[in-house]
Amino acid sequence: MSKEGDVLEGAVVRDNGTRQADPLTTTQAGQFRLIVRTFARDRLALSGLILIVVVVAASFGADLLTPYGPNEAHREVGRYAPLGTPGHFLGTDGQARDVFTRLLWGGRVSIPVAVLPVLGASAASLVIGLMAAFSAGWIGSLAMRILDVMFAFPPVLLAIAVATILGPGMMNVMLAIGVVSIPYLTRVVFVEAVSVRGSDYLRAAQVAGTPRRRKLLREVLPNVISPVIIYASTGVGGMIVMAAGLSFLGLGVQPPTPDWGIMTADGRVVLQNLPHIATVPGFLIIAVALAFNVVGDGLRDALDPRHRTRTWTAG
Amino acid sequence: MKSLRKWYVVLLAVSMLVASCGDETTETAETTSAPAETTAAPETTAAPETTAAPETTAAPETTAPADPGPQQGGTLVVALEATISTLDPHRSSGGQTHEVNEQIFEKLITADYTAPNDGGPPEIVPRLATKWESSADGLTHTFSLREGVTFHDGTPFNAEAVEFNVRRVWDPSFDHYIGEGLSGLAGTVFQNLETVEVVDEFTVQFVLSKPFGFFIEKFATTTGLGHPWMISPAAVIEYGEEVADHPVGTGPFKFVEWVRGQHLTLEANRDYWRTPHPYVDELIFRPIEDASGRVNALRAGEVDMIRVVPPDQIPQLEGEGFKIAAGPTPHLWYIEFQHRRPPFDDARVRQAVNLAIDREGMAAELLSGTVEPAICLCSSTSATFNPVPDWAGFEYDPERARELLAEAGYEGGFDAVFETSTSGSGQILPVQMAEWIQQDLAEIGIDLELRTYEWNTYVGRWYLGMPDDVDMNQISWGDNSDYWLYESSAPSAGINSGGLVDEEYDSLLIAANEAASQEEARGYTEAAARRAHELAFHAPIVSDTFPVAMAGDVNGFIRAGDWVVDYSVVWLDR
Amino acid sequence: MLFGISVVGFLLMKLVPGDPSSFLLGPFAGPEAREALLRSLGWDQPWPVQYVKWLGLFVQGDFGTSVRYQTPVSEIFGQAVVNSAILVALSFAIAFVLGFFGGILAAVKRFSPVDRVTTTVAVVLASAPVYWLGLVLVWIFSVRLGIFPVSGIGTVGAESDVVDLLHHAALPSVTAALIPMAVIFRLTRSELAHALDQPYIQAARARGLTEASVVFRHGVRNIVAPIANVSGLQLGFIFTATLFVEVVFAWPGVGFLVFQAIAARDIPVIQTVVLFTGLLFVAISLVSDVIQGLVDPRTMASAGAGT
Repeated sequence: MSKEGDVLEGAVVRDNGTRQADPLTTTQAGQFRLIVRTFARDRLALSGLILIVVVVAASFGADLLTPYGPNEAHREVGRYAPLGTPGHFLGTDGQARDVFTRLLWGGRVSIPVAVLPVLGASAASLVIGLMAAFSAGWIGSLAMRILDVMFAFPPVLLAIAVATILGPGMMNVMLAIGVVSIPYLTRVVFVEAVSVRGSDYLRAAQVAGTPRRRKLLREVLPNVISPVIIYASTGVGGMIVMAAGLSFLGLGVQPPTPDWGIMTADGRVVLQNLPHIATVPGFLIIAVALAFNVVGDGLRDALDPRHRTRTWTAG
Repeated sequence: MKSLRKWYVVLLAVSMLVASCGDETTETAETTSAPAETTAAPETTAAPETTAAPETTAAPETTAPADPGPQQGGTLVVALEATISTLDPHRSSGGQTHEVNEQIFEKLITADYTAPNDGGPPEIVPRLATKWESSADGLTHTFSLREGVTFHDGTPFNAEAVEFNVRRVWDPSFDHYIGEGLSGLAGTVFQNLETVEVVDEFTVQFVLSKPFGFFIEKFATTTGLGHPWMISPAAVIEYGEEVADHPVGTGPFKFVEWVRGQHLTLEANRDYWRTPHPYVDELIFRPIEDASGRVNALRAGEVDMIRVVPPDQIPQLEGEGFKIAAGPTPHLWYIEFQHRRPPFDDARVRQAVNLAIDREGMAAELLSGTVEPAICLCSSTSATFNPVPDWAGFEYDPERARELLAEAGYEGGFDAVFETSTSGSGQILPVQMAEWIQQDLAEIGIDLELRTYEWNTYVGRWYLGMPDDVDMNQISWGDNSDYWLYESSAPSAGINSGGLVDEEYDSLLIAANEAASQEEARGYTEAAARRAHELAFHAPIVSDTFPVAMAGDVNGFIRAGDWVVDYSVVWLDR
Repeated sequence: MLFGISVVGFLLMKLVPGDPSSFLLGPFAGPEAREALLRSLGWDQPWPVQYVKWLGLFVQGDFGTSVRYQTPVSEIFGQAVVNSAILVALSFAIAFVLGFFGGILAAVKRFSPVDRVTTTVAVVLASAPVYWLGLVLVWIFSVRLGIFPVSGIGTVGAESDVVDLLHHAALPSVTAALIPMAVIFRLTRSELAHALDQPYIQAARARGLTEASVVFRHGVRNIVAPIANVSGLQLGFIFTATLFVEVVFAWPGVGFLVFQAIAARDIPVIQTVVLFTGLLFVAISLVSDVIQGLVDPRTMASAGAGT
C-alpha cells in the first residue's frame, strides 16, 4: 500500500514539475479521486475488476453457494456425471465430487497462490532493482550478480528445486513462486531505472538538488512502476499454472484440496469425451488472468501521468 | 525338437485366437486353436531349426482360403511411456527398456511370454537352453544349450558366450565386468553363486555355495540391471562401453538404428531359430511421455500401439474401434502400516482398514476395470496365488471395520497421515487412489491427511523407512517369484518400510530363501503369506493389468502374466 | 558468474532429496546394490569433493556420463541442443514478428476495432496455460483436422528433410510462441503509443513527414531498447515454455532431457544443461544490454536535442 502511496505522490510532483498543474491534482484527496475516475472510465479495466471481485467473493462465499463439501464424493451419482446432472450442473469429477463446488473452493487456493507471490516479488524487485541501479556500492551489483545466477536457471527448474527443498505445502509454493519471479521483475526494474538515470528530468532534479531518496521515490519509481505492473499482471495466469505444475509434482497444495490448475491437469485425460472438466477451470484461469491483465493496464494508465494525460487528450 | 514343435503350435494357436476374436473369452481359444494345430504341425516338423525362413514364412499363407492366419510383413510402431535408457541389456533400467531389450536379446530360460495367462505364474520354458537340471541339494544347476543359434553378427552362441555374459555382470575380476554399481540385481539372482563352468560347447553349469530356493525362478524372470541376457561377446569386446549403440543379441529382432529420445528401429531377424517368427518386418519404438500425447498419436494413426493407457480413456478408445489387451501382471499396489507405534501396531486396526477399503469399487469405478482387486501380498500371477489360496481376501465391510475399531478402543476413529507419490513406475494413479482410500476410511472415522511427493523423493523416503510421524504409505511393485515377499517385507532383511516385527513371518521367509528347491520354498512362502493376511500386516489394494491399446489391424498381441511382451508373435492385417 | 551458476546448480540437486538408485534399481533393490551403485557414481563422497571432481572434468570438456543413459552426456546433449534450438528459434521468430508488428499496427490504429480485437486476442493468449494451449492445438489440428502430426520431430522411417521437420515443428513452436508473442505485442503497443504522443513526434508530424515515416523513423526507433530488453527476457521464457512443450509434443530437446534427468537425479546431465542455459542467458542479457546501449531512445533523444 505504501508503495502505491509513493507512486501517487511521485505522480503529483512530476505533473507539477513538468506540466501545468491541474487543479484536481494538487491535493492527496484530489489525486485519489482522479485515479479512481480515470480507472472507472476505463470500462475494460472496470469489468476486469468486477470479475475479480465476483470470483473472489464466490470463492470465499463458497459455503453459501453450494450445499456440498469440496471433497465430498457423490458415489450415488457416479464419477464423471455429465453436464446438467440434477443437483450437479457442472457434473462430477473422477472422484465423483461436484465440479462446481470444487471450482469455487479452488479459487481460494489458485488466486492467493498466484497473486500474493507476484505482489511480494514486485515489491522486492523494486527495492533490489532501484538499489542496484542507483547505489554505487557493491551491494547493488552483488545483488544483481546473484539474480543473474538465478536468472540462468529455467524458472520451472528453480521452482521445483526450491519447493522440493522447502517441502510440500501452500506456503512453500508461494515462496517458491515468489523467489522465481524476482529475477525477472528485477531485471525489468533495473533496465528501466538505468535508462531513467540518464534522462533529462533526472538531471534536472539533480541540478535542483533534490535529495537522493526523494529523487528515487518521486522521479524514478513512477517511471519504473509501469513495466512492473504490466509484467506482474501478465504473470498472474502463468503463476496459477506454475502452482498447478508444482502441485502436480507433489510439491504444492496437497490433495484432495482443489486447485484450478490441478483440475485442468486431471481433466486432460477425459478431454475427448468430457471436455468441460478440463476446459471450465482452464477458462477460469484464463478469465482471472485476463482480468488481472486488464486491471493492470487500467491501473497503469490511471497511475502513470504520461498515460493519464494521453487518455485525456485522446478521450 | 519336441519342445520346439509344441511351442510353435501354441504360438500359432494363440495368434489365431487373438486374430479372430480380439479379447474374448478362453472358450473360443480352444475351438479356434484346433485347425491351427493341424496346419501348423507338418510345417514345423519339416522345418529344421537352422534352415532359412522361406519355407516357414509360406506356412500361414497356405491356409489363406479358410482363415488368412497370421500375415507376414509390415511395420509396427509402438509408443512407449518413457525413453529407452540403454540397449546394453545388462545396464537396462525401466520397464520400457526391458521390453525393448527382450526383442533383441534372449535368456537361457524364460517365463513363457507367448501363452495368455489366466492366473498363476507364467510357465518357465527353455529358450536359449533346451533343458535344465537342478541337483537335489539345490547347489548345482546344469543347462543344455540350443545348438546352431548365432548372434546377429554371425558369431555362434555357445557355453563360452554364456560364461562371458554371466561374468560380465557378476565377476568383478572379469576383464569386461560392467562395474559394481551396475551389476545391481545380479546380486539377487547370483547371491550364492560360486562358479559358472563351461562343461562342453553346449553345456554350462552353475554351482552355488548354498541353496537359493528361487534361483531358477529369478534366473528366468529377472529383468533389469545386471541380468544376463545373452549379448554377443564379440560385440562387447569390439565396442566396449559403446556397445549400447551396437546391440547384438540372438532374438527375433535385429538392431537397425537408435536415435536417443526419438526412435529405435529394429528389423526382423530372418535367421531366427524360432520360425516363422517374427511376423512383422520392422518394429519401431517411439517414446511419448505424455499420456494424452500417446492417446492422440494412436488416434491420429502415427503409432499402432501404446503402452500405459490412461484408464479413463479405455472405454472411449474401445468405442472408436481400438483394441485393448490387458491381463494379470506381477504387480501389486499396497499400503504399509506404521508398525512401530499405535494405532497400527494393533492387528484389529489394520484389519479394519483392510475391511473399510472398497477395492472392487476402486477397480471398477476409479480405474475402469484396468486392475484386479488384490487379496494377498501377491498378484494373481505370483506363485503364492497358484493354486488360489483358501482364504478370500478382505471383503468390503465397513460395518465390521467399525466394530473392530471399537474393539481396539477407537470408537470415534482417529487422525492419520498417509504418504503417497504423485506418479511413478507402476503407481497407476496414486493421488486419485489415495483420495479414494481417504474417502473410504472417512466412513469408519479415520481422518487421513495426504502428503504427496515426487516419485524419486518418495521412493527415497519409502526405502529409508516410514518416518515416525507417518502412519501409512504405499508402494507398487511385484514379481512372479515369491522371493519378492522376502525382499519387500522380511522384518530382518527386507525393506519393510513400516517396521514390522514378527519372528515367525521372518523365519518362514528366510527358510524359503534357503530351501533346496522351488517346491520346498513354496511351502514356506504360502505359510508366510497366510500369516501376513491373518494379521493384516499390510493392506494389499490392487494389481495392474497393464492395458495396451492398439489399432484394429494389430493382431496376436499377448499379455502373458508379465509386463514383458514378445513382439515376434504380433502381426498386422494390412 | 558461470562458476556461481554451476555451484548453485550442483547444490540445488544435492539438496533435493532422492538419488539415482531408485530410478535405476527400482524400489526393491537391496541396500548393498544401492550403496554399490552410489559408490560407483561417487555419491558417497562429500559434495565439495564431488563438485571439484566434476568441475575438473568439465573444464577439460568431459561432461560426465549420464546416469540414466549410461553414455557420455556430450553425446545426448548435443543432439538435444540442436533440436531445442530449432524450436526456440522458430518460436522466437513467430513471437517477435507477430508480436512486434502486430503491436505497431495496434498502436497506430489505437482504439480502432483492429486494435480492440488484436489486443483482446493477445491478452487472452497471454493468460492461457501453455500445456493447455498445446493440448487444444493438438486436438484441433492433429486429431480432428489431421493437418499436423501429433508429436515427434520427424516421420518415423522416412528420410528427414526440412519440410518434414517444419511440419512437425509447427504446433510446438506456435504453442511456445503464443505467450511471448502476447507480451511483446502489449509492450510494443503501449510503448509505441506512448512514444507517438511525445512532443517530438508531433513536431515531426508538423514538419509534414508521412505517417509511416513518423511511425517508423521516429516512433519505432525510440522503443527498440525496451522491446529488445523484454524480447531477451521472452527468449528466456520461450526456453522455459519449451520445457513443457517438448514433453507434450515428445520433442527430443533439452527440456525433455532435463525433466528426465530430474526424475532420475541425473546430475551430470542437469549440470550440463544448467551451465549451458546459464551461458545462454548471460549471452542474451549481454546482447540486450549492448542493443540497449546502442539504441537507447532517451540517450539518443538527448543527444539529438544537443545538435
